[in-house]
Amino acid sequence: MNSVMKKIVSLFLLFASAVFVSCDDFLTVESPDKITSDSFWRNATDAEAGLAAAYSQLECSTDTWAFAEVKWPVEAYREDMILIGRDASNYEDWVKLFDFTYNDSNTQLSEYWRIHYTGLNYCNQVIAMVSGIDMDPAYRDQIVNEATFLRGYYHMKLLLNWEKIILREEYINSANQLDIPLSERAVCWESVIRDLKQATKLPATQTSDRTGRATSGAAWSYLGWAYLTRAYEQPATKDADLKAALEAFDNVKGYSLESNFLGMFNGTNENSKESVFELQFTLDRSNGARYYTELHYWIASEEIGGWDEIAPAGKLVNELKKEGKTSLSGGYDERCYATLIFDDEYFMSGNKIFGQNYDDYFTTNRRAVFRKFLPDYSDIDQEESGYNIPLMRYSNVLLMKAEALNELKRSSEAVSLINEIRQVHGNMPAMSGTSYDAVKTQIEHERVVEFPLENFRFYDMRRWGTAKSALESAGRTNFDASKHNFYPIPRTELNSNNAL
Amino acid sequence: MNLQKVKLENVLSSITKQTGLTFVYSQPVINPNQIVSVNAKNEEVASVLKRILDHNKVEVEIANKKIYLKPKNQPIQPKGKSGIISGKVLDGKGEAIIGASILVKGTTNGTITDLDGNFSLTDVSSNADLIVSYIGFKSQNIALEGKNELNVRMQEDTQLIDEVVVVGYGTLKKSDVTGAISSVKGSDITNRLQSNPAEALAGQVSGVNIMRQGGNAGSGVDIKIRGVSTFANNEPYCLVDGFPMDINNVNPTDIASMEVLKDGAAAAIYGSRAANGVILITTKNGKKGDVVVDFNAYVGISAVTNSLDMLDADGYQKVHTQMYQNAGKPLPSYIGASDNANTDWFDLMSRNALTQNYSVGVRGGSDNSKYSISFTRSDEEGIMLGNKYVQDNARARYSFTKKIFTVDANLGLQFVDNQQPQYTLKEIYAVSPLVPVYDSTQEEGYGLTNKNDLPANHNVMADYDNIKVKNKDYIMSANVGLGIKLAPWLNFKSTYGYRGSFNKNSYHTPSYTPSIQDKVLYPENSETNIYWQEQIQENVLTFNKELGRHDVTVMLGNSINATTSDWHTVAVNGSTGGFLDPDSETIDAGIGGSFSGEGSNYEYNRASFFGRVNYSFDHKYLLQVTARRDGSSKFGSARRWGFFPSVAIGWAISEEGFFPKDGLLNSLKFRASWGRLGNESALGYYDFQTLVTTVNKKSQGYVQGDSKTPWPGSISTGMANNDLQWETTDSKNIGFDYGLLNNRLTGSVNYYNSTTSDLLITKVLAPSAGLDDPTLNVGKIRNSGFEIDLKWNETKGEITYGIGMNLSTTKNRVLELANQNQVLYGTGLKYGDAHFPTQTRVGKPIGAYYLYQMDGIFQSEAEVQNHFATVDGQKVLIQPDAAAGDVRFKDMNGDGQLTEDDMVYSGSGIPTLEANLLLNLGWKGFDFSATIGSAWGSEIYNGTNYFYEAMSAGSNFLSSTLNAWTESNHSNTMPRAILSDPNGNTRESTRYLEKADFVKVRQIQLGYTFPKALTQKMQLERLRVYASVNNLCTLTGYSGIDPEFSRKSVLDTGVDNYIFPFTRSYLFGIQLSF
Repeated sequence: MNSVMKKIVSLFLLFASAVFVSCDDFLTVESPDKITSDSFWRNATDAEAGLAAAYSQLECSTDTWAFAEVKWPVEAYREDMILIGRDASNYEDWVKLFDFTYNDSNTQLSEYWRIHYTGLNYCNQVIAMVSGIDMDPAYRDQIVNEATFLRGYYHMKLLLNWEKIILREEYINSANQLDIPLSERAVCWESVIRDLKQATKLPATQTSDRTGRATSGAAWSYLGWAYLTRAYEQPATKDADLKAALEAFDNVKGYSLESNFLGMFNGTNENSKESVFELQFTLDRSNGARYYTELHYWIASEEIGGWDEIAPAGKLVNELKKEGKTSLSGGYDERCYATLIFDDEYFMSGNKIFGQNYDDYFTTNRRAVFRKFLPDYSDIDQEESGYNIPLMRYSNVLLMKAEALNELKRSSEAVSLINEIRQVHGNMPAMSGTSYDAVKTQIEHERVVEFPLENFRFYDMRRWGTAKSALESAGRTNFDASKHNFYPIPRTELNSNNAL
Repeated sequence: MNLQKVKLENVLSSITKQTGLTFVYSQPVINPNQIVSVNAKNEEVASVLKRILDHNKVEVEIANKKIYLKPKNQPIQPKGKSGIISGKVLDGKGEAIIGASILVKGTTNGTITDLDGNFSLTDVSSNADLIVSYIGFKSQNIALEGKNELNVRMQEDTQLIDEVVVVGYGTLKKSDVTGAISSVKGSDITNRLQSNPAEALAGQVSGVNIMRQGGNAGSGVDIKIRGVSTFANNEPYCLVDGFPMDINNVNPTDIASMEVLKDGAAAAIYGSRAANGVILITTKNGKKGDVVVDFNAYVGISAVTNSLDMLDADGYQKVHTQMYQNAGKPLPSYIGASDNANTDWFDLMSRNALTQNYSVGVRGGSDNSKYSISFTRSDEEGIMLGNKYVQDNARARYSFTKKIFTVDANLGLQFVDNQQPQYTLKEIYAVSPLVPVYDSTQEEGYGLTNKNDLPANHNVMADYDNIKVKNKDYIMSANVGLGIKLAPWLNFKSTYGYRGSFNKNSYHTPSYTPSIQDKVLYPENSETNIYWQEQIQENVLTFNKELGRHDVTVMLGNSINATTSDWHTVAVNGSTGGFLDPDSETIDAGIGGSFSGEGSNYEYNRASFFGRVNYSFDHKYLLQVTARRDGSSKFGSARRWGFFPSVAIGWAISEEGFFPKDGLLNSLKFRASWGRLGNESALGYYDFQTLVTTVNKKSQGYVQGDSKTPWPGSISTGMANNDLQWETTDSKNIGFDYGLLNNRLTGSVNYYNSTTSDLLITKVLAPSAGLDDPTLNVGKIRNSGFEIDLKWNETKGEITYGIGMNLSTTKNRVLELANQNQVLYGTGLKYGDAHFPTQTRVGKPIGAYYLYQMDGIFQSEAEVQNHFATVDGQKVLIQPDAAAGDVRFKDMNGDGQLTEDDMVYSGSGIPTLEANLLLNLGWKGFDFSATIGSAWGSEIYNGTNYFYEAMSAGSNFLSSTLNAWTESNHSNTMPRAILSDPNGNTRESTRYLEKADFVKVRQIQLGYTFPKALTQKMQLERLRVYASVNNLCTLTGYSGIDPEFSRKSVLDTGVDNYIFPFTRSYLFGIQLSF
């Protein structure tokens, strides 16, 4: 070797070894803007940010469009009081939900399932990680309890729709936790009740900067609903569950009925004194925020410029008008006007429908369509929708309490609760009769009139065992309780969960 | 040069290496085994030679880059005298060949021709045979048969020239290659008239599958070498002049040669980059001599080859009437409505498109420097409105040598303007023909679906008119290499390469209404800038020494590669104001509106050390060993390094003494290799960590407080996996290279078998886990197959012709997954999460079809009742929801129900045999070529029929649905139309499976080169005009758009899901040089 070459070779070797030594630094890169899970969960700010994610999956409201397209087709289309809208006929999977011809490949069902479990994953992360944060212990407990409430809530919504579910009670941090079998329904109820009970330790009210977050009232309400539902499913312990439900409903304090019934659904009376738990939205777009939906288009009928995806069944219209114009103000039950737009003098003047009257929209087919959940906008095209959706109203607590009392054969105690709602919301006279059957019939009527589009009806029918007859009376003959009381486990889960 | 006591042969070859001059001599004059010593520095070659050779006997003459060693003062023998032969050797054009060797067969008696091509030999018996040979020409064996004067015409032999093959960090003589490498000449690429070199490669080489993603201008091309070996990207690693580059950004006319490294041993020097094979492109450089200017241009028209035949207004109403009536539902009001239009949406949105391509190149050089400059503009219109792809490509290459230094520099610039249609094919196909394009009763004048209960779809014309998108790429690549010749046998090269791409993307819409469901309420403008760059530094030390019959080349090197990218998007929406002019396409136009911004960056680093030894003994026995160690920042520190070795051997059988020289077979080489390759492309940059993301949207945040304040959420959506490791492929190859019939027939045969383990798969988790799907090391896949390449070239009189054929077979098997029963599904055809026609299971090809088996159509209610199974003694109706006209499916397991278990293996979308035929024919100035491709043995799942023969929800359908089963039309293939499909006629079934076999005439071309005499008058070197048809015709039984298309995910192989219509183009072009 000559000397030049020796130099170059040694330079090369030196360079190579220098590279080798510095390689490990060179090969270690970090995300420029995302921290790792290990370095997160430092303080109250992190805990709160985690909790926001835990709330985010509520009611499948994760997307501007999909919110309406998942929640209502899955929850509402199978009600006897509901028809699918005209445009909905064009979406096969929606029609199948309405016709009870769906199978486990239904995309709306698999989305509903997936979103709820995403919420459960976030809840479990908050519960597991926040307890280790060095922060104000009272607020830390509150955050953990809110996440525990949400875990109970997500599990309960799944349990209301599927007979058996996969319980997710742990933060998944290893691959062997991924595949878990279905749990028996009784075990699932225990889990839901345990979580909701834990959440009753939440404060009764949230401060004004935290409005909308879960309170002890919300926890007691859902706990009561859980007991009430279980009471029918497990006849052996029915009375104990009814009593537990009653006790829970009694603990829902600090709420009262709202006389402005319409305002609770059109964005003018949000987080009202009647609202126990409410899904929050906003039109605030500052800093790239997106917390709005297209719900108003989805519900509005074709005539008034909507997409026409859902419509009231004739049965609902009849039920709302059932008592005739007997309200104290001389019209139908006030809830009828807040729920429907129909051929009635009420809608002929005063421009109550996006600044116009019924006649302006409905020229040929003078049908009834939904008014509930349409916003108080001057034009349907004015904005996306950012108004809240009440999830648990005090009237529901009262009606469920009335039902528990009636089932415990304390029917007379139920009557005053029913009458209170009739008066405040419907401006209607007191009900007649005090017998178990009369109260039972009245509760069913009140629940139909009170909650259209709030999607309690199917759970009510299943609880009472009336789903088949009710659907048949609406001309829906495909319903078979053994097949359709609960949805099938989605194919996407069966395909990928090795424990199933 | 200082050589002591070595064979003369070695001295001569060392002179050849230093000077580039080759020797011409014949053995009786020069004895190559003579032992000599030489010591020379900066001395004329001739004088050195004179010193070592016996100057009384040998005369040294240098001409035409050759050194002639001739016998001195050779006496010219008088003609006609017995025992003395004289003559002249000429080439095909009648010009004298200097230095051709003439040998009397079976003796050492020989000579070479002089400057005029003359020779003479003494002591030749009159019945002897003479062997006349010269490098680059076919040897001739001439029987004297008593003649004593010979005129020999030599034929050029392109096959015999010992071509040099680029092998990665160096070159090898083709004869020394041990791996499976296919070379394609630049002219084969240029003549294919494609704006993309990958497409021009289609059908040229066995084992290489080239498919377009669609027929739109600017659509990508997918290249697969030897099947599917990974779940991630299967694109091979492409290098241009040694630096990685996107093959789509190379201009075909710049290409001098392309090498495809197919087996593990050939590719292993690129280690973890090479698991999908490697494509090496060498661009043209200048040659010593005059300046050469090349100009190429072509223009052409493209038309749709095949489109879907959708229902017209009458058919639409007919099928929809059946659909509603069969479901017992009232008819929607659009049936028979007075304001129905009859719009052919596809016809409206498609067109015949113009393609133009112009390129100019200037090349030249001197003894010590070479240069090449080129510019190309390619301007391609798409066949759908709003589709255009313009590419400007400039490239410069310069190299010089000074003393021991060589510098090679490359600079490339590309500008790409890519406009894709801003409406979807789905809307074109699905929208009702009853909707008019324009409708004066609508506010904006476009026909909408907001009436008569019509299904909601977009008016694609409104989208086309309103959405303005700009998508531009500015790409720069530059590299410079410094070579130092430390010794004749030792070379050091250090290179630096830079590649940067700047992508600028903008999107603008005014407020408009394409559909009542998708109203754009406010003007919107967004701009995205992405900057991406890659820097590479490499050092390579190459040692090459020939010691007697031992030839050793050792290469050692390292490479570091740093990639960074950063991007940001700024968007403004007019919801709160701004946009005084809604058509203003800037961010500032939206001041007063609602702004949002996003942006981030990443870093990705790699380091590699590699080495290779090539050893050849007597050019008969060949050995190659490589090793590479790769580190990547995509892994945690414990798993970051991978080791990728390879071994290959070769045996040039025809060089053996025992090999018959005059047989049918003239050359034969055996090769065998094993190599290990790696892959990590499936991984994201930070996949081994769990990252916490913050989102200020409904998807992960919430709203709180009386003032309804956005509450951004931060959470980790994935799961940490520190155990992620390299995916590795073990590749084995056995092959032969052969030449027959005087090398008129050449080719190779290969068998390969490669197994990929620790596959990185995006594992679809149970949705109940609530986690993002992670990438995990799971499973094993094997690909194996034969490849046969054949080439026949012959000149007969004025006709030259060639036939090339290549065949490859592929057998793909999944050997292991996470567990024996694991099933990986592809993408659901319906919104991605329902209707899964493919499953990946152990023992079958990747992404195989698992389907219900259609068994005709129930012709009557009785047939429905007859379709039962007997379970526990009870008759169970298999399809209780069916009625006459519905599809009958087989209950494969006899349990009386149709469940997932009745979906059985039904084939695969991977062809088992691909065959290509290349023809060319030349006569006088005319040239003709044809490229024909075919694939056999696979099936296509016709997603188009799934969507548009569904007849179960509001949509337009294919006109084939006019044949739907009715009481009066007892079809056995097309079921009845029925809303919401209670029987599941549209379930994943063999109803949609079709044979994918095809034969495709990819290109025919006819050209004419004007005679030299004429072109010289025009001051031109060469002038050729041609006409060509690309994608002339496809013979196939497949009823969809085209049987040959590529899907992004290998799990969806063969599933036809909105394939963009392909095009046939007619091109006319001119090539001229001066």
